Amino acid sequence: MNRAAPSKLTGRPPSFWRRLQHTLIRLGRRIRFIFVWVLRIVIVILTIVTFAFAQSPLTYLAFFLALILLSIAFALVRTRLVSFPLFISRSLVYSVLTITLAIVYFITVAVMQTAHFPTDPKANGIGTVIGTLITVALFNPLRIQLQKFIDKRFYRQNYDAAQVIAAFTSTLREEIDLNQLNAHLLAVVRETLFPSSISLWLRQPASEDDDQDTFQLAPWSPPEQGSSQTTSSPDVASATEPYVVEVNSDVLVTSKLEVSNVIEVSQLPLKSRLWSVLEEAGYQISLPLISRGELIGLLNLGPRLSGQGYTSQDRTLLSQLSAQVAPALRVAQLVHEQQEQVREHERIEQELRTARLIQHSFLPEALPLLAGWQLNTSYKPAREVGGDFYDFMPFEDGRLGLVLGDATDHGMPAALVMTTTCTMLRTAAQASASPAEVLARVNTLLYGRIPSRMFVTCFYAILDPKSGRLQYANAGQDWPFRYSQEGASELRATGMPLGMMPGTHYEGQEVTLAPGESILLYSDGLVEAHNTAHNMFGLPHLTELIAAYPGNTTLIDYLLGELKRFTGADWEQEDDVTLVTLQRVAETSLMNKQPEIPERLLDTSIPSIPGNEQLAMEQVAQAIEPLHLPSERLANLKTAVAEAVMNAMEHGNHYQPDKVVFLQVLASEDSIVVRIKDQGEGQPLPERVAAPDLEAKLAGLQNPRGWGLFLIENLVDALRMTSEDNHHVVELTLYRQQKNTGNQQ
Amino acid sequence: MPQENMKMFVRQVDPKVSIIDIQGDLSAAAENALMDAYSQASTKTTHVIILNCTGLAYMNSSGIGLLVTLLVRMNRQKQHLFCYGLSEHYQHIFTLTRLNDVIKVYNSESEAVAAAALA
Repeated sequence: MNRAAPSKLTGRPPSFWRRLQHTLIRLGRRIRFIFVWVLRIVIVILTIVTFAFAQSPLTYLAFFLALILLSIAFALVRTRLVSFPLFISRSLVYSVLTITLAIVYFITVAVMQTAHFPTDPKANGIGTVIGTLITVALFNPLRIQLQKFIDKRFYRQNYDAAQVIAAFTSTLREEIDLNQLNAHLLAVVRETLFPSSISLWLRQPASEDDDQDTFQLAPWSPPEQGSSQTTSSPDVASATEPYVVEVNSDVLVTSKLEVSNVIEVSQLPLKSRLWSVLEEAGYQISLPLISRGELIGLLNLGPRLSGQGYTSQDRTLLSQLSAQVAPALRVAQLVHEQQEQVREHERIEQELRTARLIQHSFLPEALPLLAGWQLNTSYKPAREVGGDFYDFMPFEDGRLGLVLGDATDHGMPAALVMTTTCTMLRTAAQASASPAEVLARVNTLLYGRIPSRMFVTCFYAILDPKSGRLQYANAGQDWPFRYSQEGASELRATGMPLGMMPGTHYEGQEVTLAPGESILLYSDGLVEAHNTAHNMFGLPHLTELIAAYPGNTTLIDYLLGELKRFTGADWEQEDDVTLVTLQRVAETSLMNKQPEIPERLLDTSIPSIPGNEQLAMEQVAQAIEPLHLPSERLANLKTAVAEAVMNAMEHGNHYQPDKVVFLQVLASEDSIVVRIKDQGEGQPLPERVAAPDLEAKLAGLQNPRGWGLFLIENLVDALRMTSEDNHHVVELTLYRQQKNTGNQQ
Repeated sequence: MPQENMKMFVRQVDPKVSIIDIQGDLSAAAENALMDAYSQASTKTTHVIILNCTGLAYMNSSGIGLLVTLLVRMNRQKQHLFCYGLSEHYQHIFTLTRLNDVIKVYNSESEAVAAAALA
C-alpha cells in the first residue's frame, strides 16, 4: 500500500496525522539514520554560526526557535508517530536538550573568552573547541536524565479500567480481521499503560514439518510496515525470529495453560529458552493469550515509560483484555488461514484450467485425408491434466508422420513439456526421414532442458501411403498393435524415453501394411485404468480384445466400449486415454459373407443453397421409410445427413447455386449407406476438429463452430471419407442390427 | 427461404428472467434474429434467459455455434441460459456436445421459471 488507508473503524479518510505517520513509517531505516545525523550536524553548525555572527538578540531568538523546530522534526523521525503521546514527550525532551546544550555551549565559550584570553583572536578557536567537547560529552547523559524526568511526569496517567475494557469489548465484536484486531489490541495497551516496548507473538498454523509437540510463535507486525519491527519505541529491538515453543517441555506453557495470568519474565525458570529470548528483548512481563485451553499467543511488554511498575490493577486489566481478545483472536486466525487455503485452491484450479486449454490447443485440429487409408483418433483427457499428445505431419512428398506420446507428471509442468516436445518433433521431422534419427535428435534437445525427474515417451512413424511402408521408432511408449482379420502383433522398437539420458540409441524398424491391415497406437491411460476392485485393465486383456475384435464397428469404439464395461459407470479417470488407429482400406475382396448388391433407394442431386440440407434429409428419410428404422436412429441419420450435405455445400461447392451435391442412399440387409458427393476441386477439407471442446470455445480459444463432423461421427455407426473423380465423397453407414459391442450412441 | 423460417419473440417474466420463444430453424441464417432477441431480452437486471424450444423445427451445427456464441456473450454478463421444450433428438445432441452442462434443460416453462428463481 502506498497511501495510508482510511480508518478501518470509522471509515473516514485518514487524518493528517495518520498520513504523516504512514509516510514516516515507510521511510527506510537508512534514510532515517542519515536524516537524524544531518539534523544533528545542522544543529551544531547553526550553533557555531549563530555565535560567531550573531548581531542582535533577535537572531538568538530565531536560533532558539529553529532549535525547537529541528527537535520536533528529530522527534518525528525517531518516533515515527507510532504513538502521539510518545512523540510529544520526545519533542519536549529534544527541544529542552538542544536548548540547554546550546546555552551550555555559549556560556562555556563566553567564559573561556573573557576569563583567559580577552584579546587573543585564537581564544575564539580554542573556546569553540572546548565548548564543543563539553557539549558532546554532556549530550547523552543529559538526554537520558531529561527523558527519565519527563517520562515520569508525562506518563503518570491513570486510566479507568472498566471504561477501557468496555470500549475494547464493544469494538471487538465487529472485528474478525486478524490484522485489525491485533493493531487494536496493541493500541489499547499502549495508550493505557505506556510500555516502553510491546510486541504480540502469535502461534503459527501447524505446517507439515512440525511434529506434534511443538509449535511456533512468531511476532506479528502490521501489514503496512516493510520491516518486521513491532515495537512502538525505536530504542528497544524485539526478537524477530519465530521461536519454537515445545508444548510439553516448556515450563511456561505447562504451568500456565489453565489461567491466563501475567508472567514476570524475571521469574521464569532459567532453563526456559523463552525466558532468555524475552529477557534479551527487554521485556518485563508477558501475557499469555489462551483460548479453549490452547495458547494462541503472547503479549510481551517492556517496562512502563513512567518508570512505575505494573500494579495489580494493571495486571488485572491485562488479564481481562486477554480473556476478551483470545477467543476473538483465535477465530480471526482461523478465518485468515481459511482464506489463505481458498486462495491457494483457486490458484491451483486456475492453473489446471490453463494447462488443459494449452494442451488442447496443441493437438491437431485436422485429421489428414489419405486416399486408401482411414485415420481415427480418440482423446479423452483425465480430470487432472495429463501429458498425452498426438500429431500428424503431412510431408510434401505425400508421406505422413504419426506421433503418439505421453509426458510424465500432471498439471502445468506436463502441459509445458508436452508442447515443447511437440514443437521439437515437428522441427526435427523436417530435417530427417528416419524416425530413429528424429527421436535421437529430440532426445538430445530435451535432455537438460526439462526437469530431471520428467521425461516423455513417444512413438514416431512415417507412412508411405502408396506402398504401405511404415518406418517407425519408439521411445518408451507402449508398443503399438498391428492387426487384421488374421490376428494381431506388436510393433516393437526399443529405445528409452526422451529426455532421460543423452545419446540414447533408438532402434529403427519397418513394416509394410497390406490392404485390410491396421495399426493401433495407444497411451498407457488405457492399460493402466483401474476398476473399483483395483484390477488393472492390463496389456494381456488388451491383446485378447484386439485378437477378438469382431470388426463391425471401429476398433476405437470397440475398445472404448470395453473400457467402459471394465471400469463401470463411476470411473475416476486417472490418466489421459488416447487412441489412434490407421487402417489401410481393404480392397473389395472376398470376405466371409457374400457381398450383397445393395438396393439403390435414392439417387438425386441438390443445388448448393443454404437451407437445402433440410430438403436432403427429408428426401433420405422418405426413401428409407419402408425400412422402418427406430425413430431415434432415424433422427440421428437425418441430422448426420444434413450436416454432411451442409459441409459439401459449404466447403466443397462454396455455396455456388449452380453446383450440386449428389445424394445416394443404398440399403442392404445389414446396413444403410448414404453417399454424399460434392462438385468441388478436391481441396483438402479444412478444420476437422477431432473433439470440439466446449470449454475452449466458451473461453474464446476455439471457433464456436466446428461441430459438424463431430456430430456426424457420433450419430452414425461409420463414417468414411474418400474421393471419386477428384470430388469429396462422404459415406455414412448405419447398421440395421446393432451387434452387442457395448458401443452406445 | 431460410430467412423467413425463423421468428423469435421476447417475453419478460420478471426483472431477472426473460424468455425467448424460438419459432422455426436455428441455423446460420438465424444469427441476426437470435442476437437481436438477446439484446432485447437482456436488461440490466436480467439474470436468466430461457429459450422456449417448443417451436424449434430444425437445428444444425451452425445453430449450435450460434448458441455457443450466445453463451460467450452471456457469460460476460454473468447470465445463465436455460431451455425447455427441446425434442428428444435435440436433447441427445445437447448431451453429445456437452451443451447440456452449460444450458440447463427443463421439461416445461413452469419448471424452467421456477429454477430460474433459484439461480
